[in-house]
Amino acid sequence: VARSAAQVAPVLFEHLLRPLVLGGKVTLMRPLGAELESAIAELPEPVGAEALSQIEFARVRRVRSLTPLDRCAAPNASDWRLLACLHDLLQATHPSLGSHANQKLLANVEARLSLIPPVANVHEALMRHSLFARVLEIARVDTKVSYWVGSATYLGTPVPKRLTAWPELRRVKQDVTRRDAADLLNSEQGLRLLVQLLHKTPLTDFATCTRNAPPFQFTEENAALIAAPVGMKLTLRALHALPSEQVTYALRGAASVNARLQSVATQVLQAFQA
Amino acid sequence: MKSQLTPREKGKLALVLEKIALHQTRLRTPGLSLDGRGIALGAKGLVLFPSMDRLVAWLSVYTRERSLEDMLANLRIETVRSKLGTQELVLSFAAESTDRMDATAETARLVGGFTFTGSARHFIQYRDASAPFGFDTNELQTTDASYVLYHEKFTQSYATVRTLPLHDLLLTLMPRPAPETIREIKSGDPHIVVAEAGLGPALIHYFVRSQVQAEVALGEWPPESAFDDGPTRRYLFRVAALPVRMRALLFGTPGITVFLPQGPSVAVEAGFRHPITLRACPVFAGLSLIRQGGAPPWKLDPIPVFGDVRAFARVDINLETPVHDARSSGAPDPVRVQLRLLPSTGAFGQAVTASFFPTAELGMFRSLAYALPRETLERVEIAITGTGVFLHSTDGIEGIPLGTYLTEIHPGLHLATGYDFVPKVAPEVLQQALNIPTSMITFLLPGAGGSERAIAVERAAFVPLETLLLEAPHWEPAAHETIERTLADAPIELQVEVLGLLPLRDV
Repeated sequence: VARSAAQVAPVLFEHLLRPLVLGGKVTLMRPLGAELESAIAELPEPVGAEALSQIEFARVRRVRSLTPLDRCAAPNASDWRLLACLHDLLQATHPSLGSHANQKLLANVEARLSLIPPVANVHEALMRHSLFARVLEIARVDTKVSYWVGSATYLGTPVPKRLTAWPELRRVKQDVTRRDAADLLNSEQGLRLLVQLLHKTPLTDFATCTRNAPPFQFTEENAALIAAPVGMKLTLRALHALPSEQVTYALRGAASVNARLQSVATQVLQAFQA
Repeated sequence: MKSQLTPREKGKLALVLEKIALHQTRLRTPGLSLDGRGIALGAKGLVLFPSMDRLVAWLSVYTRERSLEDMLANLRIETVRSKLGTQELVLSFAAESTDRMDATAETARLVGGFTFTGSARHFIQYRDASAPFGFDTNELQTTDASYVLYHEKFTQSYATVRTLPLHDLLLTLMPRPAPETIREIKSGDPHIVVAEAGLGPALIHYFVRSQVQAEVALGEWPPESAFDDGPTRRYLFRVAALPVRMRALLFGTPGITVFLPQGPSVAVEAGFRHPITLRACPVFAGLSLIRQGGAPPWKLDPIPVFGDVRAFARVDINLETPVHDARSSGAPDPVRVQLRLLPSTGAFGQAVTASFFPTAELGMFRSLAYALPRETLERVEIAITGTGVFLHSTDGIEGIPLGTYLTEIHPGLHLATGYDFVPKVAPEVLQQALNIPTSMITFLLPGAGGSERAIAVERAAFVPLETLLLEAPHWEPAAHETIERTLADAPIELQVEVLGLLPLRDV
């Protein structure tokens, strides 16, 4: 059954954007693809104001940790495109997706991500950060249940109660592993796409620079943000919220062969240590 | 939904190592556990070196900063062979702490070695910048090999070929020419001089005549070949301080070899430097003398008996000169006089380094302790004896205005400040006359009515003042209650649902 953008947009909001901002369970639909993504972005109002008001408070709280703003703008077309890309990128980690389908989906997401323009100004970067700040916190809980006559693995799905019943008698043992987004996308292409997605929200890129994977790098997108004095100020505030030793280590490690980016890296490091 | 492992998931499992996440509690590798900071650590550490020169480089770099003494009990160097037939070297030791492992891994990274941690057979790559909490494996190999090493880039099993004792390795390494070691010799540095059997007696008399403080022993080595008549004998000299004027003679005479001690049991030939800091490797028994040019080292175990060279001085006996009988003249009157302390008329020059007060004044000292600055408390040592209380500090004791001040006039000999002793013999002579062991500090105090007192206190009796001063207040543990974080963000959990048929139909 063909899906329309008007049907998909509220579901995308309810099951991905809302938990991405507020926390909770993220459930995904069938991969959206380029056409549906464009159709959602072109909708005049993908979701109503009432729905957006549910995440407004959390977004303002996120923004006010960096600058005193009292309102957050509604997500623009690029934000919706980025959200659709994130949806499909996460869907690429689905355990039952074959390797061929996985490659095809990742290639599709890569092509779509490259079409999303970088943020136009500091305000847009801040608004996008308020939406995608917790993107690296998305995690899947994998459970391995062992019992007296066998074992079963449940990837991102709850364990049936019948399997955990009578734990002492049946010698039930549960091994729970929490795997974050970077861990789930732990392939060369997957991590590259995650980096590409972070470059579209440069303030988030800086605010998570102490992450283990993918390693932080200086690029044209995040260099453009700190070229503006206000952008530099917001970036430094975001960096000061992180452990200073880890930030220094990450910024030093993000050395670039590009001479201009190298000078930007030195400038940020000096400003941070000042 | 019950999800069996898909081919994609199986492909991921092929990557044997997994990075350990923050707050992860379970590990799959046997013998691997998390320390207090959440870092994966096994009972043993292991470093894999592709060649011998890398191992030597590691030992060289590591021993420049640290001692191997703590690791020696469990340190093993082994030559191992992989299934592909390549021979590599493995250095294993007790891991004990992440500090030791970090230092080892950092040095290994510098010289091109790989660091692992584990218990008996399975060793996992130790943490690095990409995985600050270390690694765990999701698949253990079933094998009888001595070691199975799991690295991000390879998983390899190794069989032990032979064990290489560190002591043997150190003795087989050739020292490098380093002329600066001769230039850097200070006048008080000890030397070990080895002289061939024919040169020994001449060298003894040379030392005696030149009044050089030295000890001599006769070392015996087994014959080098079946053609030798008996064991080779050489004279060994332990010279406490070799005068500069003698260096040219000793360093330039064939048959005389000079060694510079690199620890209590090992010395390296002067003008050469061992690639490894031997002071950091206390593995030698007896005395080992490492020679230049690949010559086998001279080993002496046990160390032969050393005697003062003055005992071997040439003695002339004149049998014709009659011996005067002292008994007929009777015992002479003793010329000894009693030591007395008199108020000094000279200037007050030397620093006050000790003080003494009777035990009765201890209460006043306690009151005074509240006003003493931290620096004073740190550097002052105290000894409480039946006679009284002694305070001692090499940096000066004037900060504590209590008791009789004393000045150090000779190492280990203190005299009441403002006093001179008569007869005015040299302080060394006074020290010898008192005949007090060097393990004791002597204090000369004026007494009432001219009865001077010499009190000797064991050096070990002096303890830092700050460790004795504070009486710790009673304390009681207070249990804390967990406060719920109202503004904490709820975790974001990705829940997997059924994709259905043709999941990519819109892509």
